[in-house]
Amino acid sequence: MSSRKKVLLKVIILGDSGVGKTSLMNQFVNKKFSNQYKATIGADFLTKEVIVDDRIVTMQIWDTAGQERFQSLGVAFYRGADCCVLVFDVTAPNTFKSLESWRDEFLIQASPRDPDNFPFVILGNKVDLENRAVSAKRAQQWCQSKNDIPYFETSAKEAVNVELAFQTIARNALAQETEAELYNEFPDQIKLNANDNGRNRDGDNCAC
Amino acid sequence: MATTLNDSPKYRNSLICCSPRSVDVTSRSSSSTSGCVSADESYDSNYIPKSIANKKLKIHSSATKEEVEKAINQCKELVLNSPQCSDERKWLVRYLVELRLRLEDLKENDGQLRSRVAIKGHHFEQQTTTSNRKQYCDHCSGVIWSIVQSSYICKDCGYICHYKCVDDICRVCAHVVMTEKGQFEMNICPEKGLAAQEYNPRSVDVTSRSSSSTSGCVSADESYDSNYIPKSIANKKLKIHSSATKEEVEKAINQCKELVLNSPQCSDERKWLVRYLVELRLRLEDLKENDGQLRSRVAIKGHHFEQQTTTSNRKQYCDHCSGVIWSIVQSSYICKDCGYICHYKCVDDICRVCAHVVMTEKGQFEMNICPEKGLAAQEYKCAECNTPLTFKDSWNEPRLCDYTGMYFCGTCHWNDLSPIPARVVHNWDWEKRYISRLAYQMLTLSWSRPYIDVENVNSKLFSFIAELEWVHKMRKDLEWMKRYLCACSEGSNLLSPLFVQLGDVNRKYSMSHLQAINDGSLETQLTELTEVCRLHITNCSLCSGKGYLCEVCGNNEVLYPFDSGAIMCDKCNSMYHRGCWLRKGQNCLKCLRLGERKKNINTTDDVDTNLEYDIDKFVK
Repeated sequence: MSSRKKVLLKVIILGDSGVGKTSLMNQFVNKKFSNQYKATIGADFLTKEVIVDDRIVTMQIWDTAGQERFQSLGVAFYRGADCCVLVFDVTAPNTFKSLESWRDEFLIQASPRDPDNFPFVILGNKVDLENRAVSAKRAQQWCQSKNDIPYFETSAKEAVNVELAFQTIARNALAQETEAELYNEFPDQIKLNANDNGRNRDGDNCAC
Repeated sequence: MATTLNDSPKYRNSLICCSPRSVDVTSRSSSSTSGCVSADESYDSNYIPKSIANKKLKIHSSATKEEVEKAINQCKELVLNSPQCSDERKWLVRYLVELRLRLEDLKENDGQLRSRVAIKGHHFEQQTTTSNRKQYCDHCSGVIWSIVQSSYICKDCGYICHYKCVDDICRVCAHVVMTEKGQFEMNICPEKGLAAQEYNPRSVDVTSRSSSSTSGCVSADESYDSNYIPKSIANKKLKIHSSATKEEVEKAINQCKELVLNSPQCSDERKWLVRYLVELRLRLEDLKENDGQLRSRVAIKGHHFEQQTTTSNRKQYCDHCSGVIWSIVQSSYICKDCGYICHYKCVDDICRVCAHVVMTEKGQFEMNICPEKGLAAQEYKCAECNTPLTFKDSWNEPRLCDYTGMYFCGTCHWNDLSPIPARVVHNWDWEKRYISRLAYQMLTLSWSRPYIDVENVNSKLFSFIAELEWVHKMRKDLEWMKRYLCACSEGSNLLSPLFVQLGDVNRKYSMSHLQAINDGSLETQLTELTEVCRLHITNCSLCSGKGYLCEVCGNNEVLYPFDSGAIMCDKCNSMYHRGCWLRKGQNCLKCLRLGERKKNINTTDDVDTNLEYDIDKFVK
């Protein structure tokens, strides 16, 4: 079923400004790193072909603006994502704190079919730096408490764990995509979708 | 001066007198802004306070006794409720008297033609003698056929009207108005444009109108005086004659330096002194290089003159002396900034400051319609070259420049014709009018510069000119599209010059834009442009990724800020379908969420019990 179609995995990278989202993507796709900080405007994406379990899949990696003032446009690209990568800076506790709100905001905007089992991956970036403020243990604990989200400690600068992390991302995304395809097999998918979203909306109502 | 509207017989009388301003020559010339205030009040509904016109006191022409009596009673009540000594009470009492006369009349000759009618201060009597001259009705401007039609004449002001028109007349008796005012309008045609008279009944907003009409007046007075150059410089003996030697120029430079140091910082005076100093230094440089030769470049009064080398086919006239330039035998200069042309011999005597410098510094057009203050304000001299001017002198008659509102001599005013920006913005009046050379150069130079802030100067124009409103809406759309296209490598190819001009944040218009709106070409161009851009944005994966999704309905339809069916939260920039937004009681879900989150963070800080955000305990 899946082999007859070219698989495109949509991955969204989120996190506060300056945690290294663009650097991680660049390291993974282009194997390059620059110390220069340049704020991403709005959003941008790069694609890379990877092999997951002997299958060639294309990853479409969306890099986003962490700074509020560069988020001037919408986030329609959240919709249809197969995996969401949340990045924080291990030397800045605030970036770790805000992961929760990034996750919530993503789930609301993307409104995936099964929010509780949507694949997330957490990356603690900049482990090459010495002034660490968020310990690996704490981060790991939080990830476990949130439905066992995979956690990686990376360094975009030294290329530590980057390949491994993205392999996991691709694998989890593929699992999600296959599941989504199963849904798509049904002809009345729009109706299903609408029903599902209707439930979400009701849940929304309660929260407000 | 008068617009076509004012020329029609209908409006002739009402313009004779308007502002209740005292004839005080000193105060008149000093402030053109203060004069704006009174006119607004008194013009409204022909001098009669609005409150009366609105209240349903009107009775139709064939009203019965009972109806009139009822109106009288209502009017009495209103009189008692109105503030003492107010204009409103005065007019209410006047109306009451008119009603009583009417009642009297009805009682006397029931069903007959009324022989006397008192209305709006007029005292009409039936015209009995048929005059030999053809008469026109002051109300409907139709001919009065005196043999078959009976007519009224006001014995106070001479207003003539048909019998059938008498109850509908608009004009207040000129006798009453003039007697109360006791003076003439002393401003030369105090025009404020059609907008001030509310050509559009859709948006009647008295407060904003009066404020905007005064705010536009600021710029003119300060900068026009003595050709934009502060007087102090002209007086100080810095001038050097055209054949000055090196030593003389050096001396002048030193003097100028001293003056610069003595002048107040950041003042106009210093600015012009420094400019003059630069010009002197260029002159010195020039003298050193080619001694005794023709100067190939001259910098004076902001101009950058270069010698004209190619002889043009068209006959050229010197902008200074208005004489013909015989290009074969006479060498001439042209300013490469403003296009001022003059004879070689005239270059050192020119009066006009470079129009390019003036317009660039000012950054806007004169927005008052022909801000005329009379010859006295110019001390009976040409505004540019100071040649004495009087209307008695038929040889060199003063010529009015419709743009600056100043009088010029024949050498400085060549009767060039151009549409006037202020008339366009206020009246959408594109008729060409006579302007001075200075104004002509300024207008042609700045014709396509975005100087006109229509929204601030006259926001009513949008509801009056549908095309303008449409263009304005498309400009807002373009501004949003620009944010998409700028960040997309493919989309940035779509940023055409027109796009860049009109899709920027400052929403000003140039005269050429307005002209294109008037002839309809801009509308079609913009429609095409927005269609192309819309097509790209909705199809490009990067651009469409930056669209919005409606959180309320969770629909997969992507929304864009330039969609008319969607609405954007002005706080957090999230977008919703208009319908969904209304269903949610116009509350932004994201803003509510953010507020909730903030509250939670605060409470966890206070009580140390974290309900939702247990991430904190992993940090501590």
